[in-house]
Amino acid sequence: MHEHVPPSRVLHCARTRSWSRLAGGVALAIFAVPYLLLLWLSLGSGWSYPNLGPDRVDFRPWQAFASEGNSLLRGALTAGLLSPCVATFATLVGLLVGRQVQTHRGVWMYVAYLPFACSPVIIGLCLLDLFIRLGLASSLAGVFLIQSVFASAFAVILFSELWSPEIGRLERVVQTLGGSQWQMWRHAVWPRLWKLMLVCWLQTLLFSWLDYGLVSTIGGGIVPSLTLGVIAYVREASMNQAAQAAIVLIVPPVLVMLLIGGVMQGRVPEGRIDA
Amino acid sequence: MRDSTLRSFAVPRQPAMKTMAAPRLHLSHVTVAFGASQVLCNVSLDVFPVETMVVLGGSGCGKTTLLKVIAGLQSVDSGVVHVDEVELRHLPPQARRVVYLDQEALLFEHLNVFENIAFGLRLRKVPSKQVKEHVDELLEAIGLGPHAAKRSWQLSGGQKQRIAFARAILAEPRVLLLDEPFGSLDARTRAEMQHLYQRLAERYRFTSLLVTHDVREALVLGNRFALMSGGALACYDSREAFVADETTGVREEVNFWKHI
Repeated sequence: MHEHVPPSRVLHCARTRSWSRLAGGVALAIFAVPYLLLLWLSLGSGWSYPNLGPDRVDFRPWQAFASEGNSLLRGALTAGLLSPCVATFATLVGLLVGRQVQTHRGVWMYVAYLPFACSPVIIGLCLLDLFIRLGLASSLAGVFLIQSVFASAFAVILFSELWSPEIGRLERVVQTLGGSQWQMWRHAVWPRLWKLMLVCWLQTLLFSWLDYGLVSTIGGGIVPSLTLGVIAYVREASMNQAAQAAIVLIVPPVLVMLLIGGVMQGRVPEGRIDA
Repeated sequence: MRDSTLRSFAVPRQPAMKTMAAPRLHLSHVTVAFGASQVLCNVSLDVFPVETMVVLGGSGCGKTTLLKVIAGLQSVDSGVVHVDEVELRHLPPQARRVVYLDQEALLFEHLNVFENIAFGLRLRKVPSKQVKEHVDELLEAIGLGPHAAKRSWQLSGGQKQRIAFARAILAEPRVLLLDEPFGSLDARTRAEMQHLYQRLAERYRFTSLLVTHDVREALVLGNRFALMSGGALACYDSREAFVADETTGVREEVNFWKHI
């Protein structure tokens, strides 16, 4: 028999639902407004006093962005090449070195924390002379190197704390059952660490993609960068170009985060041993 | 029909006799030290085919190190280890065919029960049809036939340990090393596992070296016995000699149950 629910309670529930929907809508609007504003500004060009908005709103700025030789596009392409390289390198270093640091601790843990002892810009400035002497200043290789130092240190600390001793025992199982190094990696390490590796890769990717201090000191303004572009446009009060650069800066990492978030929802898919 | 992979197990189990065959496992004067601390002191040991040699000892006496030395997971400072008269010193763990079974089940999370048991055969690239025959047979033997498609998080501790045990047996080791394999289980499951061990040892005729700190478990599972203390190993010629030695703690255990 169904429980009798008084009409006042039904009304109360309906009101609560309406309020929570309204609150959710307001929160979403507050969150979305700055981005919509950015999008609108990025479509604009020209401005005449006393208008609030730009003179024209169309796709011309984005067509200009896609044209050959556009500095913003060069910045985006450079970051698109550099960031995954830094992230992949740092994740691998973190995976390999983090385990050793976890096992031996001691001085290596201090070495891993050393890059975070003071501001990256200060460290970049301290190392600038060395980079100039090595011919790495104002070069992509130099920026890769300096970003990798910080990203790798982060990855080493992350993996040194989270590398589980159980992985070592699983490796022994695979080993004594006759498995090779690759099979140890495939069956003992990867299923336990793949999510952590993705998180580490994403974090270091974001670090590299959004870095301003290191790329400005070691890159010296020669290596194109999105963050440098945004700051430069803001400084010269190019509102529309700054908005466009900000969108280029924000959207790709958000898409990557959504993709990785989706992948991480599930467990490792059930597998068979492709020995 | 059985394949050659399991044919050797099909022969009815004979009581292990030292005089019948050369030892399957032979350790001679094995010494291991970690810095100033000597963990294994001049350990010598023979394990004969189809027998379960039990090493009894308290925590930290060197039992696990002994097993790791045999499995190739720990290097020795001096002494030799032979399996089937082949010296193992230069053989990596992968090539020794000595399987080490941990106290924890350590199943592969990304594989289901069937694939966990099949692991050793898959690594050896045994054809799928034979793998299925062997795994199905072993699944029935350990009473987990209906659970073949389950993943590790859907199983109890006892079920996981049975699967780890089945995985080790199906890898056809020359010597199976068991490091207190039932130590993490409750008393009832532990007794069931000991019974299962006896049945499987009878059926598949494997050679094993089992270390435990539990006197009862030692007496239930062992064919021959040794006592480890402070890194030194004392082997007994018979069950009677093991029981008679006051240092093993067997008498204390018997007296406890008599007077309870």
